[in-house]
Amino acid sequence: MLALTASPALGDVLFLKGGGRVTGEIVKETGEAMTVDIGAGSMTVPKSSVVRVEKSTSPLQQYRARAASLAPGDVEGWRKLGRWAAGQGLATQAREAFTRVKEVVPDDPEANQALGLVLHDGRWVTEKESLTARGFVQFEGEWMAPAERQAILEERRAGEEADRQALDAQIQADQAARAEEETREDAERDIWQGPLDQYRPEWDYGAYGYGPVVWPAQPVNLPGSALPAGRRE
Amino acid sequence: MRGLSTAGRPLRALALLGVLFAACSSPSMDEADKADKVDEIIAAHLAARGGKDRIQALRSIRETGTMTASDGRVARVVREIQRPGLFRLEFTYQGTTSVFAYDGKAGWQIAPLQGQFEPRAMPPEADSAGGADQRDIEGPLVDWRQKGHVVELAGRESLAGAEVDKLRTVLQGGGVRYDYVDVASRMVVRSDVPRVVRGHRVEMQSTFSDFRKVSGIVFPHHIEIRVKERPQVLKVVVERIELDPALDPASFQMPR
Repeated sequence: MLALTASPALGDVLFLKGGGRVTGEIVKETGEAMTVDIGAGSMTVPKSSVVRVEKSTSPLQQYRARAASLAPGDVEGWRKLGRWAAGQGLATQAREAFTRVKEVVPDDPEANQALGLVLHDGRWVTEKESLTARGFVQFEGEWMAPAERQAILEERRAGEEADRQALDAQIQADQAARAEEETREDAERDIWQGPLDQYRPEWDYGAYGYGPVVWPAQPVNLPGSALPAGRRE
Repeated sequence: MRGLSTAGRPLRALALLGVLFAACSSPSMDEADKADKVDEIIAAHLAARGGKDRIQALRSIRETGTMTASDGRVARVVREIQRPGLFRLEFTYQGTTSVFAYDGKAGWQIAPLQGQFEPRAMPPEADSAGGADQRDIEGPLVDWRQKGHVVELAGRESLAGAEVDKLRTVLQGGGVRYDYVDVASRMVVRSDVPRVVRGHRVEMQSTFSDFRKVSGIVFPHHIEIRVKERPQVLKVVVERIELDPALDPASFQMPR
């Protein structure tokens, strides 16, 4: 308590656009960025993202001041500090405080739970050990039953297969469209070399004879052609 | 016999008509009964919460509390909702405060913990506030018909030893959610909402407890969120609820 009074416990608050904040202690500053000790490592923030910096009461500094005043064996003191740190979102500091509790009282339920341990077959084990023992598997950061993981993988395989089939269908459709286009172009070439009654205004290039430079030797009767069949030669 | 027969014809015809009428009208009567039952359940629920008028008079709300992951990590959270459909969540963890917000049309976020120091638009599939039901300050059951939702009674079940009425809501946008109304307390004790996470459809189950009155309206102060059939649980403890706080509408807009 004396330490808390003696130390103003002020930290730096970096305000970002939109209300985002980084709170801790600025430990390095360059022309472009500021590095902040957030109590679980350092974070470098570009100055261009910082709206303003304020000195403010920092939970991290308060924690450090309070921790400095506690004796290692002060179980209730560390417990209280651990609860307070957890409530402030200071996970690293809460772990540190509850680790002190566990050192003195290894089976303390609150400390074990705060450290992420769970009671499994009468022993405090990590969540990972417990979930593995219960038959769960971790998949992309999430714990689930093996059947669900299998279902997700099958869904994805089905999705990939559907994508592949869609791609194949698209390639085939493109090829068919291209073939049709070529057919239509061939039909159009027909017209240019055909008689005047096959002339269609939308293909008017100015006058009969202004068509493509390549003239088929024989007119071709093309399926699907817009030309009246009876007019073909 | 003839006379009887002749005389019986209208009676038989009436009986047949009656049967036909009953056959034709039974489903619609059932539907009407079910609709009445839904209205009754929702009315009782809203009355138990403090009354529809009081809930509808709410303009804004701010909830402050903690969120604890199953591995013991704790974050501080502040959730603000304001009419019409504005949403903002501040998430403070290890000295960083992230913001996830919805301006009425689209979601945005700033997440220093993920190395995002500039606000950015949230892809719709990642938008936790994307469901209209999440941003509806009074909840989807209030005036559900006017909102374009369809609510039906999906049955009565037993949930953690208590009887509950299960309501199925097809939201105006097409999503489906289930709300379980406790028969005794008339509170919604669980909601199941589907979400798509990394392309996989999951069902988020939120269980509500520790109901307490704040300025005449009952709110749950303990919420447990899990994905159906998965072991990990996220616990939210609401420490403080403010009704109609003055909120700056600009705080919901993504800064440019």
